[in-house]
Amino acid sequence: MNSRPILVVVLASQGLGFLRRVYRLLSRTAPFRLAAFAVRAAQFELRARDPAGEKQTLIAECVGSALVGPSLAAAEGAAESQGAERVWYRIRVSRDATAFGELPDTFALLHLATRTRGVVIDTKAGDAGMVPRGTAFVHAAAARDTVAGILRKSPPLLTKPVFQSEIGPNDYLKRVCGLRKAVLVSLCAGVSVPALQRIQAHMCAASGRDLDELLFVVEGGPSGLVAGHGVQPIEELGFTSLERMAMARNVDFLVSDRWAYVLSALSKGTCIVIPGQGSAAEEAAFELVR
Amino acid sequence: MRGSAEASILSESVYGFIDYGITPYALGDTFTLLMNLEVERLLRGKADIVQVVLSDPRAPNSRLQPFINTNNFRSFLIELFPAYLFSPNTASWTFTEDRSYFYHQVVSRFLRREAIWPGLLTQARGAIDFFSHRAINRFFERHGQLPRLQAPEDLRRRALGHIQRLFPGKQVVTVNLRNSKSSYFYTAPHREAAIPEWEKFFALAEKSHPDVAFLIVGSFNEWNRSFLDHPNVTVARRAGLTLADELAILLASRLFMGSSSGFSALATFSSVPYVITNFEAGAAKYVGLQVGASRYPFASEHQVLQWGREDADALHLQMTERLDRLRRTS
Repeated sequence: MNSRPILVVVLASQGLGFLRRVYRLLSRTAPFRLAAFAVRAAQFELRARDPAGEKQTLIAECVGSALVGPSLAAAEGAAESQGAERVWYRIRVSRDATAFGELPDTFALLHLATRTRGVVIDTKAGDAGMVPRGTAFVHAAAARDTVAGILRKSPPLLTKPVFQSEIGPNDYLKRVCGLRKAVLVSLCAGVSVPALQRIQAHMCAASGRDLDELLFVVEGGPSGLVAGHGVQPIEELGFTSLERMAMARNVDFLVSDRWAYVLSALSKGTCIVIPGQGSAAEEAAFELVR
Repeated sequence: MRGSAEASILSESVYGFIDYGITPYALGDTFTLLMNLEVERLLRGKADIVQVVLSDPRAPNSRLQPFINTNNFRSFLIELFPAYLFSPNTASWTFTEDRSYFYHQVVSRFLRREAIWPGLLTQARGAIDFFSHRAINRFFERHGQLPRLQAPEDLRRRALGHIQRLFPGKQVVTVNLRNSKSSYFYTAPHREAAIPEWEKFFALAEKSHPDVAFLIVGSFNEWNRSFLDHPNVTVARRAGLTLADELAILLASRLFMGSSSGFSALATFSSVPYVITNFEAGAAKYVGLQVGASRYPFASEHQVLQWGREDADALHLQMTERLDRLRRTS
């Protein structure tokens, strides 16, 4: 009995930090954490059943990761108009499909989006149980025209903190660009020498600058093929996928038909030039989106 | 109606719950964890695996990685993501930042008596065994076989294409050297690779094995510029290859050589021939080995471990022996 006041005095004399440590130690034990599990689970259940809560979450469903870029734009646009605070993405993709290899880039892109709270990747049909219940679905495989409209009206804001990933590209651009304008060229089909030359001519005309006033950073495919034509292959800089997207945000111009880069660049207001669909790198006609 | 249909579909799966507040963002631990899930699937007789991964922005890191915080955890998760694709029986991944959702899934799957890993009490204690080989070794002892980690078909095809393009007519040896001195999470210096010895080894191999090309895999800060002086050495990241490609190439290569670190864990749980170097004596108890043992219990004859610091001559001997044996058996 007598030991209790003494224990209290000892605890009090150790200060708040000590008490916090004792609490943490206790809370690591199973009963405490189990109780926390149950409370959190119950909270989630209540929120999912709350009719008001339904508006907070959207689920954007897309088939094949290649469509995720347009889906993200459509879902963010829909979330904006409906006042949804959270978006979950569900991607259905076959393990054997080419789109499966694109998942790392897709995953990076989705994590940059402002409202993303969850990403579900399913390789079999019918597993919709893993996305939260009581939420609205957006089938976001929208037509490119629709998406272009959304982009013009309200480009999605990809503003999640990626400080670490911004450092490398920013530092590189500051060091090597000087007074030059930076152009990032990233095309699905890769870049050939004739295509690069056409892009260079177009960018000179579009920006009103001479070729030596522009710095071309080339991404994707065997960009070593165009080395020696006044370009910097991004591969040699060793940037990760996230850093490449951060690079897209920080260049002055982007020439790309890859949605991941386009959306990332749009979030910072970079001037985007998308080659016409279908003929990618060899296409000389460009659409100026912004 | 939807609920019952859902339950009948989901009961075919074992559910893996991964909380990055407890497990580290680390390549090797991820592969060991995936193998534990693969073993759990077989033990429970389930058709596939469903993984639910939590990275809570308010508590995104375990105490093992104090340098990861709210501002940078997504970078680590995104970089690590390709590793998850190498679990051949995973049918669904859910990555969430919502702790309530995660707990809801743990508790509701438990109440439905579905197969979950780790168990509810283990999850609640926060004492998850994601790093040891205990369950894996036990399974092998009982059944004499193990499932293997594999590249998805598309990444495998891409890897073969990269090998043909970069190394026509060569035998490719993938190499990963733990060299984290220039990174901001420099830990466990005793596990670092002896780079000068490896460079001597590359020079020796250039003369003795002109048909062998070495591909260095690993993050950009892990390779030394001096590697570029060796004509038989290529750095994967300089060729524009990402982690997904590197892992797939490792599995498609003739031989893997490298530090006992992240990439070696994929080799360990695959069928690719390997020489894992500088194996740490302190790690032996976690993987169920006697210090000095030359193989994991489940390894094939082409999969060997080397204890202690690397030595150029020993590396060369190991490579020569492995390639010769592979040539004879094929």
